Amino acid sequence: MERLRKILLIVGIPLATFHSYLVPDAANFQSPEFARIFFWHFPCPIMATLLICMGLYFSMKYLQTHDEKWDIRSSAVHELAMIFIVLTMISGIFFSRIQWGWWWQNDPRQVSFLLVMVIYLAYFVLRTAFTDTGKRATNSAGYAIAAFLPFLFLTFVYPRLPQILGESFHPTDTIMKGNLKGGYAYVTIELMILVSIITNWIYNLRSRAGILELEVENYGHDIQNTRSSTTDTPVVRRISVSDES
Amino acid sequence: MKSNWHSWQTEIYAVFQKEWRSESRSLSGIMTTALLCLVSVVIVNSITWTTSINPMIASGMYWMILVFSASISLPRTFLQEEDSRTADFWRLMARPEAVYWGKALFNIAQMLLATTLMSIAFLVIVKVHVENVGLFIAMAFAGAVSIASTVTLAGAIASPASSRYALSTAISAPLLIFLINLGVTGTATSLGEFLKSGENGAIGMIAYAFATCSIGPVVYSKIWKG
Repeated sequence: MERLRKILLIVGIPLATFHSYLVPDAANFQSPEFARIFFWHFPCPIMATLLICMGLYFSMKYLQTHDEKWDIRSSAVHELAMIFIVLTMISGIFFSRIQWGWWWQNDPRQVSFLLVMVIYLAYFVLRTAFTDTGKRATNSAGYAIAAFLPFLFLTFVYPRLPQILGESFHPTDTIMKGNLKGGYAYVTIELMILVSIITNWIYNLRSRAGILELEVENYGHDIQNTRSSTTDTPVVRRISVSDES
Repeated sequence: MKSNWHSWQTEIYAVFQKEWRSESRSLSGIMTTALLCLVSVVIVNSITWTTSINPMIASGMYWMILVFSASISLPRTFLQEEDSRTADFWRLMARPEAVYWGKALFNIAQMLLATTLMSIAFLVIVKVHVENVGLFIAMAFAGAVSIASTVTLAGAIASPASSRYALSTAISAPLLIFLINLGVTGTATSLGEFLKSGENGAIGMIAYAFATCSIGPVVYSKIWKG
């Protein structure tokens, strides 16, 4: 399975990239040849959204079970989501510069995704603030649940508000109305599949590494516990309390 | 059923009363919020005193002041419990939902007071004319409840950390940014700016207030024992 995935990626990515250059240049763009950034830009916010939804589920599972494996999974998907948010921002900024004339257009979608990035950066700031792993896991899971509502609003509601809809350069329903056709649709689907496979692969590696790390730590504790259980009763030292008051 | 409701009421009221008593000794929370709001209004006025600001900018500044004053001053209800080492006492004595509701209601009351004072100061000092008073009040009221409940939850999440004061502001501000967005839409409409969905801002704000008030106790009950 692992080998098949490697082969698929080694062959698939160059083929999809090559295919993206075979489709004709997009119409109605300032630099039609660079409209191909879309193929790499589009899967990033979709993957980020999916990963954040998974993060919510893993966080809820952690709070239900207090099993650290769910926290490792939650942290892994949030890390990946952040990578995709950053990639969305970078590819979007380049697209904005090339097609719309300037790096930052204050486009509502750019702004809303920037806010999503800030919200989930706070998740990592929160994680770094706790040294105790249990408290870190519990409180960051609580934050992930609290952050999901603003995330939903910024991703799905805000860009579709009537006063925002007309202001954005981003088309809102190209796919829903079936306006993404022919070669463009095929390349988009190919890259969506490839990016999903890569994401799944990285997620598996990251969460497996985290769970192994946890098992190694627990293994050490188990040995300590076994040793301590064989010793006699613990030593109690007498302490003197000065009577200064 | 009735006795269960009564016990909840008693617990929540006890937490609220404890907050009020400790606040009434020094009034430091209310004074801090009021001072932050007033200083911010004076700064806005000193920047814009030569020009008249349009409703969009005015409402943006209004919400900036509210959100940042709240995110600095409100989380202390949970943070001071950790400072005074009374958090464990609550963990032993009360139900988490009751603790959360008691503190959230106190923060909501404090925020409503601060919003009222700040709105009066803002309208008088910055000289902004309100076209739709009902919408302005609805936005301010719903905003105060949303901000207070969000900041209360952020304070509860940040309270076990060592750098809890900075952390609570750092994590509540991102959660509140989009409230500024909703707030600006509604308040700008109430100040005379023509926006297609100004009233939707108020509806969104009220919906968010309900959502955070519902999620807050549930999340807190899951995190409060660590």
